[in-house]
Amino acid sequence: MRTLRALGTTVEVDLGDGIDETEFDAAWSRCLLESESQEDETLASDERVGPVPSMSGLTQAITRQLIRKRRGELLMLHAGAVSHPITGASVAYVAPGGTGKTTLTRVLAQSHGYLTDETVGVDPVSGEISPYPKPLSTRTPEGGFPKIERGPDELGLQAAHPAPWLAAVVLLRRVPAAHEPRWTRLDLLDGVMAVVPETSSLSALDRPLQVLQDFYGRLGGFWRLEYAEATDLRESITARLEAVA
Amino acid sequence: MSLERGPIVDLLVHEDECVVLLENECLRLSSVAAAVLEFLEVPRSGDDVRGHLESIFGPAPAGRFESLISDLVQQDVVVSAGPVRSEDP
Repeated sequence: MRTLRALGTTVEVDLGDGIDETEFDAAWSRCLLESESQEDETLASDERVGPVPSMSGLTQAITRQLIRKRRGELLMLHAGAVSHPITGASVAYVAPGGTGKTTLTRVLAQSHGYLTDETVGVDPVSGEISPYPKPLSTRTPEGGFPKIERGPDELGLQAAHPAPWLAAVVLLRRVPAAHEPRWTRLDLLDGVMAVVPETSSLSALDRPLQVLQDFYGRLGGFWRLEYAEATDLRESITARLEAVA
Repeated sequence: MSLERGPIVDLLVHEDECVVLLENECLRLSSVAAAVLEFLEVPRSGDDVRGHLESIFGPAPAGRFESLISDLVQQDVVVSAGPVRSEDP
């Protein structure tokens, strides 16, 4: 058994016989609370994750459990996020799965704190982010599938600021022909319509659209960011975080 | 006909348009639909809703009101309900 802390909560994980313990501990190093916790007999079976025979499958199951536990408490975005190393100002880049969040995270988190590459949990009142520094799914060296899970320490990603807060919400759009990153501030309703499909359990929040409207106002809007390559965004996002900080 | 809001999780009105969040869907609706939903904060008769819209937008072409309500019902943002008690004779 392992105990992980992420999204401001904990989850018990049963590794079973199919998961290598050393590999798991390395991949989940930023979330690991106890490397060998005892099975909690009082814990209901649906409070525990696993066993799941593959690392990627286990990651997905852990994510689902964490989201379930914070349902109705956090605004949860399908997004990657990094934090400014000094101020904690953080940018959440929202995008559907498979559209470059992990690649961008690996670029940005070389110089900014790694918060997550998948689910950003935000307190709807304070704007504080509860990090989820999970392993990143990357393709094998041969570029194929299945993907492998690599921990943020192994990848050399920077540690998260101790008190990250949401400073910008960016909707990524990859445009291969873009010569340079292009920021466009979305109208309120356009922004809300774009963000809503990239949330988890939004309807469980109290007045969820009001929450999004409040963040839109506090953050000076939601932004669409068109780019060609992840490396093109390093300076652009750094400048944006410096500006809001 | 009497009308009330459907199972709407939340409603955001902005500059005469609105976004409606249902349990599994988010819809962006016109200014007329926004006016209907704002007015349906409490259940109303169809005639009251029609009169409210006419007071804002003027008389609608024949059949337009019924078509609008039909669309909103199909989208689950409005439901037809029984008579509104406060308007019963």
